[in-house]
Amino acid sequence: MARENWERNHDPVGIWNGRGKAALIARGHSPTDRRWDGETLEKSLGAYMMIAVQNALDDAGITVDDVDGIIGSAGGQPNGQPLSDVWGPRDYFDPPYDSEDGLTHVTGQWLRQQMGFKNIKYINNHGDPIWNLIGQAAQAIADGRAETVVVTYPNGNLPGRYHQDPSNEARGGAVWPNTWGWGLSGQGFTFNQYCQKYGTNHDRMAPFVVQERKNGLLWEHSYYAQHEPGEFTEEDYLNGRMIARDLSIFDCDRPVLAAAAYVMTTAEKAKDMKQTPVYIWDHTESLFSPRSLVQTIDDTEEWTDIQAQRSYNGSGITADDIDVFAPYDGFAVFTQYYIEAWGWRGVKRGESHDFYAGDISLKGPNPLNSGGGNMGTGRMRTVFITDPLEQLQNRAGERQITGRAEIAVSHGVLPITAGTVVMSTNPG
Amino acid sequence: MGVIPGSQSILPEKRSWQTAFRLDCAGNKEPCPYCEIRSTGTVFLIDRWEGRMLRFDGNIQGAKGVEMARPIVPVPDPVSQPFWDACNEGKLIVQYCSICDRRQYPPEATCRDCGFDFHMTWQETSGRAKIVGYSITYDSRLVQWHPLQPFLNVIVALEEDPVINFHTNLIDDFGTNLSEEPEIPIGATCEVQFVEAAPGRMIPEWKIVK
Repeated sequence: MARENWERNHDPVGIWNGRGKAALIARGHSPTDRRWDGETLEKSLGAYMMIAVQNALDDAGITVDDVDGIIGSAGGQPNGQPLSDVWGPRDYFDPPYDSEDGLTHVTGQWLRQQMGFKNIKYINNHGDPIWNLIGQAAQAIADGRAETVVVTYPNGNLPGRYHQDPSNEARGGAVWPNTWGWGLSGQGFTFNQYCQKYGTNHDRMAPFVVQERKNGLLWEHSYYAQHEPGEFTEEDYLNGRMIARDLSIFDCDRPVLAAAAYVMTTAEKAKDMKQTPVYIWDHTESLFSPRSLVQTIDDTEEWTDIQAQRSYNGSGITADDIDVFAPYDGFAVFTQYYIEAWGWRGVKRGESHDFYAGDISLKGPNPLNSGGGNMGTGRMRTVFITDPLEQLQNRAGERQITGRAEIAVSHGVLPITAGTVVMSTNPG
Repeated sequence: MGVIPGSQSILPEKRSWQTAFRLDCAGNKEPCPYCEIRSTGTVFLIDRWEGRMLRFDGNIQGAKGVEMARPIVPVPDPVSQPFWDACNEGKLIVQYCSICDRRQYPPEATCRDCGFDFHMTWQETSGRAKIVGYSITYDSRLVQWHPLQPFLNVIVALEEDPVINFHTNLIDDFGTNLSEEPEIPIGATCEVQFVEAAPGRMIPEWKIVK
C-alpha cells in the first residue's frame, strides 16, 4: 500500500538508483529524561530538539548556514502525531512555547525560526519513525531537493502515565480493538502463537533483553546509562510485572523525553565534513494490513519476509554481508520475526530463542543490537541509527564490535509498518 | 467477603475470581483503587457465568447494581453502520468482495486486495466460530477497562472462513483465576450472541456451544 510517492514500497523495487549518492555524517543528541516536568522550558522537547540539532551540526563541523533541508517527524509518529500525549488543553507558555509546537511537536518551521536557519529550501514534516525519515532524507538528496539535510526526531513524554485513554466511546479504527479491551495484548498474542508454533516460551527472551540492557549501558545517551545504571539480570526479567499474557513490562520500551538529529549530505559534500561518510545504499518501506481483526503469526511472518526480501533486492546485499544488524525491539517480543526474516547469522524461522541462548554478546560473533535497542536505552528509537552510524565510523567506543563493520542494516518499526535502511562505509 | 447492599439480587450465584475480588474490595473501609479510577464512582463487575457485565454507580457501599453498558461503546460510522444495524437485528455480517472472492472484517471503505468498493457487499455468516487463542490483559491503556483487570480476550475464527477472526470477552465456562493460565478450550466451537453495549447498540460476543 503506497503512502508517499518517495517510498520504495512496490515490488520489484530493484537496486536503488540513489545508492551511494547520500551520506550520513553526524549525529547529535539531547539529554535524556524520563519525563518533562511541565514547567522547565529549557528542558522541553523543543529545547532538547535544538540541543540535538546543534550537537549534530557541531559533530559534522558545519553551521546552520550550511543546511538547506530539514526533514523531521514533528512528533515522532506518523501523520505528525506525538510519541507523547498532547499538552493541551492546559495553558501554553510565552512564545515560542505558545502551542504544541515546541512542547509535544517540533516542526521544521519552528526549528528554522528558533535556530536561524536561513538557507532552507526543503522542509518536510511528513512524520513517521526514524527509519522512514532517514530513507526520505536520502531520497530527497538523491533527487536533488536538498544537499545538506538535518533529520530531526523528537521523543516527548509528559507528566503522568503514558498513553492512557479515558474515552468511554470508540470511534473509527479504534472501535474494533477498544470495544473488547484489546490493546497491547495483541503483541503478547502473536508472540504466544510464535511460541506455540515453534515450541518455545516467553522465559527464553531473557538473554536477549538482558544483553540489550548491557549494551545500552555503554551508550551515553541511554536513559538507563544516565539515570539507572544498575545491572539488569535474567531474574529481573523473569520477575517482570505482566502487562498482558506473554508481554512483561520488560518487553515494553520505557517512554522517555529525548531528541536526536542527524546530518545527511551528498557524497561530494560529505568529503569535506568532519566525520567519515556512511553511505545510504538503500531504503525500502512497507505498510501492511492484517487479514482480519487480529494480527496473527501468519500475517507477521508474511510481512517481515516481504520487507526483508524487498530490502535485499533494493540493496543487492545478502545476509552474509550484514555486519551490524539493528532490528527494532520496542516491543522486544517481535524482534525475532526480523532476525528470522533477514536470516541474519543463518537464523531460520523459529530459531531465534536458540540464537539468544548462544553468544549474542557485544564482543562476540553475533553482536545483535550493539547499541542496546530500545530495551537498553528507552523509547528513543534513535539508537537504531546512531549505533550503526558510529559502528561504521569506527567511533562506537566501548560498544565497537570486534568484527568487520562495513555494512549495517537498521529496521523498524512494527511488522505492520516498516522502514529499512542499508548503510555502508563504501559508496558502492 | 463483603456484600454490596441492594445488589445481591443480580449478582451471580457462582462467583468468578473477578467478582469475588470486587466484592472483597467493596467491603473494605479503605479507599478502593478501582473506585478512585473513575470520577463518577462507577464500578464494574463481570458476571462470567451469565455473560453479563454489571455496573454500579455512585458510592459502591450503597449502590444499586444495574445491568451494564460496556466500558467502551462503539460509535458507528458510515462504513460500519450496516454491521451494527445487523447486530441489532441479531445477525453477524461481514463484507464480501465478489471479484476477489474474499470476506473482510473489520469493515473498511474498500477491499484490501483490489483497493475498490465496486464489488463489495455484505454477507451473513454462519455465526459459528472456533477458539484459536486468547490473551489476558493486566494493565490496559484503556482506562475504562481498568476496573475489569485482569480480563480475558478470546480470539475466535469464523467456521466457514478461519481467516476472519473476532474478539470476545465472554468467558462463560472458563471461570478460573486469571492470575494463572486459564484452561481455554482451543478449538472449541462457539456461537455468536449479541449483548447490549449501550441502549440500542448490540455487539457480537461468543459462547461455547455445549
